Amino acid sequence: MRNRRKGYLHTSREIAKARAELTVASDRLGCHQDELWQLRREILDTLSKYLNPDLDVFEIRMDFVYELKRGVQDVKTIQIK
Amino acid sequence: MSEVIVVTSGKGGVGKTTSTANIGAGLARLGKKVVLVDTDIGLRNLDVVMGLENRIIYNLVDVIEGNCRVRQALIKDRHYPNLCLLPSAQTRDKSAVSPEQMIKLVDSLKAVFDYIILDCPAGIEQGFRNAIAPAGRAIVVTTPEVSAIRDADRIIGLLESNGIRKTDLIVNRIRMDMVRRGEMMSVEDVIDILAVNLLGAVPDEEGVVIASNHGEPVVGSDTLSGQAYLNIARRIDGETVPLLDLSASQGLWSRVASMFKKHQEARV
Repeated sequence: MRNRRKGYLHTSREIAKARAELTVASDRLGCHQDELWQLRREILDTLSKYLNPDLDVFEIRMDFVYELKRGVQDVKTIQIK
Repeated sequence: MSEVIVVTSGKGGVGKTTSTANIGAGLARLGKKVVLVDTDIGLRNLDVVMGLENRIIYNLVDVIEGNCRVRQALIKDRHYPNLCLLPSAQTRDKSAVSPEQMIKLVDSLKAVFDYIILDCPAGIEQGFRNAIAPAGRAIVVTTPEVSAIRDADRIIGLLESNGIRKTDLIVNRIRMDMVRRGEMMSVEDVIDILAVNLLGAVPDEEGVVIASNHGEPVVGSDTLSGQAYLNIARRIDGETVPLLDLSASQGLWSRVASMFKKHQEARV
């Protein structure tokens, strides 16, 4: 499993945190974890056309409008660090 | 003005009931009038954790069905006279009560108590809906494990969509030795993922199990977990209390003491 900052995860703490982040994001967005990686790759590819992002510290955070019965309705903001 | 707080988690076994009992004891220690309501119909446990299981005559369902008055069902705590328990029914199921009936019941308690704390059952079904209906504030309990964090996140979403705007988090059963070794998520890791206000962190200590075995609160004992719960109670009551340094749990003396204990056990 890859880590954004260190390349690869070494401790079970790092693995647990990465798994928890991915699981929570996947649940919130209602999509498969592979789709999240795909989304990350596509955003990164698009940004790479105009900027030179540091892949080791690249981080995406999304705020969205969530409705209980219908899941994610809209993405409010995308923060990219 | 009384405050109605639901203690919830989604996942079972993370320490909701223990947290409820100790928060209640902590608030009572601060001189507040507190009632703890066990809303886990069919699987009650708060009475056992508080050591009051032999005193139950009437329960929450009896009150709602009009078999007794609310005052008759309340049981006074053995340690704090200003702390009461409204036990749940053990031989009924969650459908015996509706959210509207819970709101009416809690309304009848507001005139007497400063804090009404609802111990929520695990899951997100009828029992959860009953427990959150009267609440204006929620405390989500989690442990630093992926499964518990996932369920806590789902619960936080459900609370928000049900109109509960103030949600705080307790990270329970933290083991600083494991965090230091890189084998457990830290409190900061959990907060980073869930992005909610931290009410407190409680270390994983033998004292919590021993107190529960005796049917007594850990609050008031000379343990870090007891201090952590008391601090949580003070924060609920509006005080600004700095977070406890949990790494103090492995001081020189405690390490020597635990070594001695292990040596004794080995000899036995």
